[in-house]
Amino acid sequence: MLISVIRAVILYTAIIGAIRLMGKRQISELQTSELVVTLLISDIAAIPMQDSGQPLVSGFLPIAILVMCELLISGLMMKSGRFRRIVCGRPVIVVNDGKVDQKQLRRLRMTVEDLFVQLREKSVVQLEEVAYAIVETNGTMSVIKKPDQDVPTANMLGLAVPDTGMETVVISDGEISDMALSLCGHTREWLQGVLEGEGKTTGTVFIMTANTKGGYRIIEKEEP
Amino acid sequence: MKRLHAVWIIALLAAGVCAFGLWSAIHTTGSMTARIEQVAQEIKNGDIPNAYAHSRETAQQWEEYHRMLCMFLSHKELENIGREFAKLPAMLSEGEPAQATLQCVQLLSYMKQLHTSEFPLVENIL
Repeated sequence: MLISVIRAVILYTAIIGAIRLMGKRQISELQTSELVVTLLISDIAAIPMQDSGQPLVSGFLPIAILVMCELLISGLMMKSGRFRRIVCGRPVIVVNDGKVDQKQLRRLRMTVEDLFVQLREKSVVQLEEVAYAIVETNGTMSVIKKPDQDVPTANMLGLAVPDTGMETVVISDGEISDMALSLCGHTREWLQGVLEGEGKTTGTVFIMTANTKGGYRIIEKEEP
Repeated sequence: MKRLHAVWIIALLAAGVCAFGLWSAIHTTGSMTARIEQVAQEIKNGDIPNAYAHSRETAQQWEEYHRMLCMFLSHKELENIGREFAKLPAMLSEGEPAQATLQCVQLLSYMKQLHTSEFPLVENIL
């Protein structure tokens, strides 16, 4: 049993390493090749993890080869648009100026119900509102509303919105984040000054946010 | 670009592991085959005491190779072969040379299978 525990820890570490090596795309929207690799890695890792009679290398080696293929394919896709189209396909326009392209729907084996589910998820209730609905290469649908149906922006309405800059969490549960401080252009000295001015210490702060304009908000820890 | 470097590193490591696995299979099976053939020849010549001594050495040698081979091959398969190697000295000490000869033939067959198991042959791939 101890062998299984050790093997599980080793394989878990290897998979975390593999996913990190493949990049952040692997943990968000997956392309065809990425989906295949993710499914295969989970299956391959399970075999030596469960069966201690199988050499660990028989799990490691295929995972390493899959990571290598994935990195190679993603590298080639960045270099060649043609190769990218072969592996990932092309985005498909299924609604154009409020009209459904039935031929493309059939080609994608997408039902009208599937289309409307996706549209409702994008807060679209009428086809007439849609300028373009595009099925992306990763299977998600992008919906671009007609300009007269879209939510107006402050710019469109000619409103002046105060720029508060980017807000970051500089203290989380008593822990100072130097990265968050540098992102909003402040230093630890500034933070200490603010806390002293407010009569608080780092340990008493639950959340403190700060923005690039010098604004901040402090939420104190509640008594347990 | 760093990730493309990782591709080359992984490719080199994978090639290294595969080459080592292939070399291990060829080297160990070659060495074991020679030892089994020697024992079989001694049994044929009626030199049972020497055959017994060499069969014990062969079984011990297999134990050593087993440690290296289990990094690449199924442990169950290797343990089965190990049990067959352990039977050979017992057969000779019990005065069963005919059985021991058959055991040698069986062990040679195992070694032949093991020898080709790491080769990228069509039958292994399919």
